[in-house]
Amino acid sequence: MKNAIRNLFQFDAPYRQFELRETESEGTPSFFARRKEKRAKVRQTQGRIEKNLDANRRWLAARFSAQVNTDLILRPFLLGGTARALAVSMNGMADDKLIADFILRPAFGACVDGVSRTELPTFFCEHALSMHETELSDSRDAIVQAIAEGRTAVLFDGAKQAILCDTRGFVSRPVSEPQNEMTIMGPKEAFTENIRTNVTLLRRILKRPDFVCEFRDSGGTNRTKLVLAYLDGTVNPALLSEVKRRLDAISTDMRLTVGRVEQLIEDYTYLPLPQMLKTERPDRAATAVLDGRIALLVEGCPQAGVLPITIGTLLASGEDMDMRQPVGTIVQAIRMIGALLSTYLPAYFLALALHHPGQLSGEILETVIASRAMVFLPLWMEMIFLLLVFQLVREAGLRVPGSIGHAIGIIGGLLLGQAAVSANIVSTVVLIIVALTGLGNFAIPDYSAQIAAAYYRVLLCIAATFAGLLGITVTGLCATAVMCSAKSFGVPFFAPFSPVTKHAEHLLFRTRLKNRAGAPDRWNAKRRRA
Amino acid sequence: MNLRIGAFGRQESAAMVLIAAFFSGCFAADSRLLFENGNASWIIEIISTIQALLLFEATVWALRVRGGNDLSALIGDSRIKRALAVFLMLALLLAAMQPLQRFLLTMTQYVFVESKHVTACLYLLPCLFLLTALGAETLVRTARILLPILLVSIAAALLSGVGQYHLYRIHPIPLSEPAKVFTLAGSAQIRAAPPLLALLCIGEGTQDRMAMRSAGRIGAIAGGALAALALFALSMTFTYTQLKDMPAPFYRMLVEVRAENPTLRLDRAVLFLWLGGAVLTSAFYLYAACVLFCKTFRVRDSRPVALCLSGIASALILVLFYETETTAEILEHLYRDAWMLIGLPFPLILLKPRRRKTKCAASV
Repeated sequence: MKNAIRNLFQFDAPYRQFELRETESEGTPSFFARRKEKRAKVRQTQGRIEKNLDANRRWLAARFSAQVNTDLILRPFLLGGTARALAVSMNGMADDKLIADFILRPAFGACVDGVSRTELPTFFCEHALSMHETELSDSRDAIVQAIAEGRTAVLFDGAKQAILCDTRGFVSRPVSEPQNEMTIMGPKEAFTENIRTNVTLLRRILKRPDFVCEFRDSGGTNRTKLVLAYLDGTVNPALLSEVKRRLDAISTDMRLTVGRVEQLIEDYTYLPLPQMLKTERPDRAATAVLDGRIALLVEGCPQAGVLPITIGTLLASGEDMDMRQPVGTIVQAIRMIGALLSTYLPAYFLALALHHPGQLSGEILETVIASRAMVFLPLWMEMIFLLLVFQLVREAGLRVPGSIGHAIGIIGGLLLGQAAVSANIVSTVVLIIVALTGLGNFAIPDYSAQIAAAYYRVLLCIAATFAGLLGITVTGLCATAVMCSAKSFGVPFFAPFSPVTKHAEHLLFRTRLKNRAGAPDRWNAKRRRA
Repeated sequence: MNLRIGAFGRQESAAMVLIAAFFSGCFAADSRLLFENGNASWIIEIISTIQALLLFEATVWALRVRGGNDLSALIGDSRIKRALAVFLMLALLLAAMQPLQRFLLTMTQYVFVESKHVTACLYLLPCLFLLTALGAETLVRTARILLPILLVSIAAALLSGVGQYHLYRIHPIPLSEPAKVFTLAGSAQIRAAPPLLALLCIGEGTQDRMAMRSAGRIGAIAGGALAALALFALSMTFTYTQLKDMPAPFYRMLVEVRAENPTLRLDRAVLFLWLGGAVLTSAFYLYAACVLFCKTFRVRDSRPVALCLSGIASALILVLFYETETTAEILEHLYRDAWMLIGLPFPLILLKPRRRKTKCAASV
C-alpha cells in the first residue's frame, strides 16, 4: 500500500538501458567536448616467435581470438611423420586447394631424418615445399599480417622461424568496363578492388624496366596495402620522398580508399577542388606515370589516385589525345565553354534580372516577366531551389541501380520540371537556365570537380542576389585568388597558365601530336622535355 | 618570417605590373586633376612612365652595386630607414586608394544609384583583405590569369568606340611648354611609379634581380602604353571640359557605344571586370606596403599588417567621399602633392650612406 502510494506520486525509476557514455572509458568530457583525441595506443605485438610450437599456437589463438573467430584455421601435422608442425591460415582468404596440394601433401611425403629442428624451415622450403612465393620470418608482426592477408604460415616445433606461403585465393571482381569514365575511343578496362590486378593492369601498359610499383603498408592496425607507381629516373625525387613521408604519417584505423588517403595527405583541406585525380582507367593512370607523376593504388579501391594535378587535369578527358587535332580542339573548347557556362550563367542571369535589368533587351525582359507572372517564389529563391533540386535528382540517380537511376533522371528532368512549371512553382526561363547549367556541369569530366562547381555556383547565385555583378566579381576574384594560391603536391593549380611553363599543349588548344621524350615541364619531373 | 612573398616568374610579375600600370594610369582619383591641362593626359602618361622607368632602373642599378634583392635592402642601409619606409608606404597606400575610389564613385553614380559608398565598400573590403593577405605569389598568379581577359575587354572597349573618335577633341595640348609637360608628368608619379615601386618591394619573390628588371620594364612599358592609348581614345571621345566633370569617363565611353549598338549590352560586365583589375591593383600596392613595413619594423607576419592597411585604405576612401569643402581641399592637395612621397625618399635611398667608423676601426 505504502509503495503503491509512493509510486503514484513519485516518478518512476527509469528503465536501466545500456548506454556507453564517454565518461565510462575516458573520464568527464570537457565543456565544449573538444578535447584532443587521444590516440588509442595500439598494442603492438612485438618480438619473435618461440621455439615451442604449443606456445606459438596459444599465442596465435589468443591473437586472433580463435575461440570465437572460427575463420582461423590451425592445422597441425607431422612433417615427414616425425616433426610437429602447424599450418595457420584464414578461411576464405587462403585457397584450401593450394594449402592441401602444395603444403600439406609435400609435408607428409618429406623425409626429414637427420635434419636438426632449427633447420627444418629452411630444409622444408628448399626440398619439399612446391610453392612459388615463400618467405622465412621470425617476426610475430609479419606472421600475423601475412595470415590476415590470406597467406599461410607454417610453424615448426623447435624452430624459431616460420614459412609464409602465398596462398591468397579470395574471390575478387573481374576486370570490367569503367562505370564513370566512359569513352568512345580508347581502352575499356577499369581498375578492380584487387591491388595485384591493378598493378598488373598498369604493368601491361608500361612495359619498361624503370616502372616501379612500390608496395607499402598504411599506418594503423588495419595495415592497408598501398602501391606507389612511378617511373624511376623520371619522377621528381623530392616529390616522391614527400609523398612517402606523408603516407608514413598516416596512422588511422579507418578503412582507407583513394579519397580518404587524399584527404589525409593533401595540403589544402578546405579547398573544394580535389588535389588528386581519382581515375578508374589504367590507361589514364599510366599516362600520368609517363608524365613523371605518381599513381597511388589502395587495396580494396577500384580507383587510382594521380598526383600532382592541375586545373587542366580536372578538365581533361581520357580520350582527348585519341582524337584528331581539329576535332580535339573543338571538343575541348566546347567543354571549357560548358564549364564556364555552368558556373557563371545562373548567377549572371540573377544579377542582370535583379540588379541590372537595363542590360537585358526588352524582348528578353518581356519573356522573363511573362514566364514569371504566376510564380510565387522570388527569382533568387526559385533559382537556388531549382539548382538544389537538380543536385538532388542527380544524387538520387547516382545512388540507385543503373536502369532505375536513368528513370529517376528522366522523371526528375521531365516530369518534375513540367509539373513544377504547371504548378507555378518555377518559371520556364529559369528552368531552361538550370537545364543548360546542368548540361554544362556534365561537361566537366571529373566528378569531384563537378560537385565543387555545383556548390560554387550556388555561392555565386547568393552573391549575385545580394550585390549583382559586384557580388559575382568579388566572389569570382576571391575564388580565383584562392585557386591561384593552391598547389597540388607542390605544383601550382593553374600551371601551365600561371605560372607559365614551357609545354602548355593539349590544355586550351590541342597542338599537333609529335614524337616527344620526357615529361612536360609543368610537373617538375626529373627527366623533362627539352 | 611569414611574409608570403613566395616565388614567381617573369611573366606573372610583368602581368601584375602591366595591370597595375594600366589601372593606376587610367583611373585617377580625381578627373579634374587628370584633365585640368587639356587633353594631354595621354602625353603625360607616356612621359611619367618614362620617368618612373628611369627611377626604377636607377634603383635596380643601386641594388646591383650595393647588393640586395629588394627595396628594403636599400632602405635598410639608411639611417632614417623607418621614415623612408613610412613615406613610401603612404605613397603606396594613396596609390591603392585611387582606382578603388574611382570605381566606387562609378558604381554609386551609375550602377547602384540608390546605394551608399559604405555599402559598396563593405563588399570590396573582404576581397581586398583576402587578396592582400594571400601574398605576392597569389597576386601575381591571379594577375597572369586575369590579364588576357582584361586585355580582350580593354581592346573590345577601345575598338567598339572607334565610331565616336574625333581628332579635333584632343585640343588643346600644352606641347608648346615642354617644361610644363615634364612638371605635370613629375607630379603624376603617384600614378606611374607605384607599380614599379611595388615590384621593387617584392623583388625577393622574382628570384633574380635581372628577372625583376625585365618584368618591370616589360610591364611598365606595356601598361603605360596601354594606358596612354586608352587615354588617347578617351581624349578623342570627349572634350577636356566634358572630361573634367565626368566621374567615370571610361564607363561613359562604353555607355555611348551601347547607345549606338543596343545589342552590345556588356558595359556593366566590362565595368565589373575592370573593377576586379582595380581591386587586384590596390591589393598589390597594399601588399607591397605590408612587406615594406614588415621588413623595416621587423614584423614577422604580413597578415595583421594587411588587415590594418586594407581597413585604413577603405576607411580613408569612405572619409574622402563625404563631400565637404575640407575633404575636397584635402583630396586635391593629397593627390596633387603626393609625388613628394616618392620624389623625396628616393634620392636618399639611392645615395649610399657613409659608414660610421667603429671604435675598433678607429683604434686600429
